[in-house]
Amino acid sequence: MSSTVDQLVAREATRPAFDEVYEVHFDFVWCALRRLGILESSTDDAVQDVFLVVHRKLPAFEARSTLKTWLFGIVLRVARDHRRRHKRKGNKEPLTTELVDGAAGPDEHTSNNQAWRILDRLLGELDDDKREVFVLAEIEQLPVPEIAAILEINSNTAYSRVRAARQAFEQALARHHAREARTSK
Amino acid sequence: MTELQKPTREFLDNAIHSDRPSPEDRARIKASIDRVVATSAASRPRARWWKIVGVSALFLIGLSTFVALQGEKAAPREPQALEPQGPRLAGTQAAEPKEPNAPPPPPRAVDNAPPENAPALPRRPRPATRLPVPPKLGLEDEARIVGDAKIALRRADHERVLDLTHEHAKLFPNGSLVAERLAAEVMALCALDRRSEAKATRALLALRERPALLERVDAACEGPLLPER
Repeated sequence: MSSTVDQLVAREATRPAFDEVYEVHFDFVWCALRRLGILESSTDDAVQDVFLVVHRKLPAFEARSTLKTWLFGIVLRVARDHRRRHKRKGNKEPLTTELVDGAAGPDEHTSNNQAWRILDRLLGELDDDKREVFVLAEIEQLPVPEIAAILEINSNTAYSRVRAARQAFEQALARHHAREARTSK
Repeated sequence: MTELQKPTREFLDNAIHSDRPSPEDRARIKASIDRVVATSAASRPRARWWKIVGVSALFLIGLSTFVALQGEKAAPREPQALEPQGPRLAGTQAAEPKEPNAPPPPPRAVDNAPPENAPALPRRPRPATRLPVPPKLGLEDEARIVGDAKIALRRADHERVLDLTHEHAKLFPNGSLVAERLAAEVMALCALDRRSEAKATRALLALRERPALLERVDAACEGPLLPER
């Protein structure tokens, strides 16, 4: 009895507070949602949705996985939900931002912005499964077993999906370079 | 497993760091979350109340149906004794023996009131009306409050510690974590320099025979809290 009580108290005392989670993980959640194809204009809503889920479920977080893995599970579900709603509304506009041709300016901000827009467009060329796995493996740098746990698939499937996503991304980048070469001629 | 080619990796690293949220984004979204949380917190007790009322209503309906069925089983009707005087629908009057020239009786929609000399009908027990039961608080709730108090103590938010310990005292006067609550309270009172209250609370803690907690409390409070001998 006493040890159960001690465990409960210890768990409650070590549970991170919501504000702490927000402070530490806000950037991660924001970036992950953007890379998972959430439209710039919907990012605020999606981030808010994620943290509202966190607020509701944090007391039940049992630290069986790392907080980041747990958060990423929520981010994935919210991103999928937003994409589904976007499709259901029949929006023809792509979720990802469009690359503005020739928008590259001299200043660093513009070139950074352009780099992000290119990445966003390349990620948009991957299908949803490959995009998710690519973001997890190559951008968030999570190990494959952890990715398998987040996506609730077995490790072998995760490995082969990561491999296919890398190939698809390389091909998309090669196509982008080819387009650039054609326009610069 | 095939890794990304070097130029692809470099492109990716460059692009990843080019899209970051601004402090304004952070503050704006936080404010919006706080608003939503505050609104839902305000409506939660009302929602919980309606849930309790709903469940209680269902329970009462179920109970009354059960009692009614049991009542019918336990006390079968006695048709011979009751039929001539018992309540009857107007449509059943045709079965009554009638004199051929007698004037027709005034029409009665439903004969609800039994005649004065009728034997008393067995009464069905009425289900007792029950007030909705407040949700039962458990050990998890108790641990949550004490855990929150410990977090507040770590953050030196001593007023919050006292709020939480008072809440705990109200909800769990004889809880399993009374000693932990008292310890947190003493430390908070010490930190707020309310030494006489701290001393009194420490005396209560001493009754609980938790030497480890007492030691921790004494170490946390600067200066002697022990009662003078």
